[in-house]
Order: sequence, then C-alpha cells, then structure tokens
Amino acid sequence: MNKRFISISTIIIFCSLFAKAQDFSPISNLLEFQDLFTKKSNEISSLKSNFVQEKSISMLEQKMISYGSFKYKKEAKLRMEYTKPFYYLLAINGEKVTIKNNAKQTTSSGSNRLFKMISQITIDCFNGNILKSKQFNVSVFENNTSFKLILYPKMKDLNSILSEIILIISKQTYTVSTLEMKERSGDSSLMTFTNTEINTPIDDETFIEK
Amino acid sequence: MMKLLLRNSFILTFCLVWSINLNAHSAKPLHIYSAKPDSTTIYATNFNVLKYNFSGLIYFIRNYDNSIRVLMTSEMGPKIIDLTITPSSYTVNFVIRQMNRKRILNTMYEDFGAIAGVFQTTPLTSPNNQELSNSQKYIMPSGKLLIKRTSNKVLVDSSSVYIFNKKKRYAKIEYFYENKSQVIDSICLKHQNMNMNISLKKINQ
Repeated sequence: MNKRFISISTIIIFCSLFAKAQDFSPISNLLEFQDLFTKKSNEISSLKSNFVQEKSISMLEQKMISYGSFKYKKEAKLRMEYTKPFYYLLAINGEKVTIKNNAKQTTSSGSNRLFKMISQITIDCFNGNILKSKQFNVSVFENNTSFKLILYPKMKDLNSILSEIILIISKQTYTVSTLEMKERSGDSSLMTFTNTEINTPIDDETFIEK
Repeated sequence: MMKLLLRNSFILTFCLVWSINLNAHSAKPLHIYSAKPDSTTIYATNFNVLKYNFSGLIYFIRNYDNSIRVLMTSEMGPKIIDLTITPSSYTVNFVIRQMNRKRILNTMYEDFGAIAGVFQTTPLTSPNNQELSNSQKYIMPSGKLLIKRTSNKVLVDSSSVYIFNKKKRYAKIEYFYENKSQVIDSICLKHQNMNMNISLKKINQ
C-alpha cells in the first residue's frame, strides 16, 4: 500500500514540476524585452509560413479548421491565403488591401476599417510594432522556450468584439508561433504557424493581386 | 411484329428515363433548410450593406426547437453577426456596431429567414397573373410577401424566390445548384431599393 502511495505521489510531483516548467510567469524587465523584441523583429525582412486555424464557436461541437499560407515582407506587405476548406486571400501592400474569396468577388476592404485594423495588427505582430501600439495594453510573460504577449484592446470598436489577443513568440527565432483571438462571447480563433522560413526572398509581385 | 415490339420498348424506355429525370430535377429546393435538428450548413459569403463590405463564413445552425441560428464570422475569426430566427421574430445575440441598425437587422431577418427556410410557405391561391401560378407564398411579420415559384423545367440550373413589398418587388434570391442536383451550391440575394447584396457559396468541410 505504502509503495503504491509513494509511486503515485512521485508521478504527481513529477507531473506538476513539468507543468510548472511550461507555465508562464511575468517578465522581470519589460523595457529590456521591448528593446530586444524590436531589435530581433527588425532583423526579419521577410517571413514565409504555413498556418492552421482552429475556430471554436460555443454553439458548435466541432471546431472549424482551415489551412493556408502566410507571407510577410517589410514594411507593410502581407499575403494570407486560406486554401482549405475554403479559398480566401487577404493581400496587403501598404495602404492597398485586396480580398478574394470563394464567392468570387474581389474587393478593396478600405471600406471596412475594423477588419483593416485586424489585418494591421497581424502585420504589427510580425514586425515588432505591436509593443509600441497605443491600441492595446500589453502584458508579457515568459517560460523556458517562449514569450507570451496578452494584448487587451483599448479602442472601442475592437474592444466590443475581442477581449484579448494572445501571442506566443519563440525565444529562438522571435517569430510568432501562435496567435489567438478571444472574443467577448467566448468564441476564439487560434492560428498556429508552422514551417516558418525567415529572410528568404519573396517577390514584391506576391503582394499585388490583379 | 418484332420491329414494332422493339420500337415500342425503345419509346417506353425513353419515357421512363425522361420521367425519372423529370422527378429528379423538378423539385428544386428553394431554401437551405435541413430537416435534421442540430445540423449546420456553412457557406462562404460576401456581404455588401450600405457602405460596408464584409466577407467571411456564414453558419446556419438548426436548433432543436426549429429556430435557426445564423452566425457570420470573418475568415480570420471574429464574429460579425449572430441572430436567432423563428417564423415570427428574431433575437440579436451579437452584431458589430456598423450593422446594428433596425432597418439592416429587420432586412437580414427576412433575407436569412427566406434563405434558411424558416418561413413555411403555402400554395398561392388565385394568383393575379400567370407568372405567379404554381407558386407558394408566406406573409412575413412585416407584411412583406415571400413568393417561391416552383419550376417545372427539367434540368434547371437555377431558380428564384422573390420578396414583394406592397406589390413591388423588394428583393430577389437566386439559387444555383450543384451539377444538376438538388444541392444548393450558391445563392445570390439582391435588394431593389437598398444597397444590400449577399452572395453565398457552399463549403464542403
């Protein structure tokens, strides 16, 4: 009986220690992190990645899972292309925003300030500007492998939809590995970036949709 | 005699195939209502309303009480609209500020109600014009008249549903089908007197 108790206790202690190692704790020096994050982000001139997006809706048991590719190039060029199970393209080239989707319409989303803002947030997450953004209150945490940024929207429009945006940033590459948008309703979208390539050449034409 | 038998058999076979074909294609669905409770149908959508343009995914969820939850999200995640609709009313669970106007919400209720098949139509008796014969009607809570015209054409690729307001056509909903089947592949809704258009394209998960 005693032996069994000891082995179970050992397993519990081991598991809790492991869990503790994965836990995030508040960062000790925020200014130092900001400088380092900006410096490392500045070293990234381009980025390619694949992504998986899991959309959780409280009304639905199943998650809506979609796949696509992501390309970023300095200063403000972004191409997000969803390929499965639906087609959706968001191409940002400076001020010009182009959207294409399954319904086969092409539009410039200049008319929709809110969703242009969400696209801009995605760019800012990759170029390091997100920490300087006045649109959010930011809390930063860390563990052995990653930084965790929790962004609380300050602007009324965004705040009415999103309660927080959570970014997990790799300590090795200083790139975003996951981006989670949590809505006030309890629904959320988690994007996980994989096969990330940093500073590989990307043609400017990639960001121009004719 | 043999020739006659062969000819008659050929005619009979032709008629039989034609009749099967006719049955398979005459009753095209004019809404996306699913008989299965708790079922979800997903469409990609482009939504133009007044000066705004939204694109994203739209979920039609049939609840156990037969109400329909219409939920639209942007492709990147955040929710845009969340309505619960019944034949007599609707509840706004969520709507973004830009679309939170009574006129838009009332119109969306009628549009999505018609598309989702919430309004159970009855045969239109003594239609005033020939064009509306063979049609079904429903008087919506606002007094607008929903007219569904059943097409008898064989192998039709599209059909239309109309919403009338005081005898004037208010909106037209066109349904396009997947390869001569009963499955609605895409829907196009256009309003005559306000800048509000919705296009939907079915997503197969």
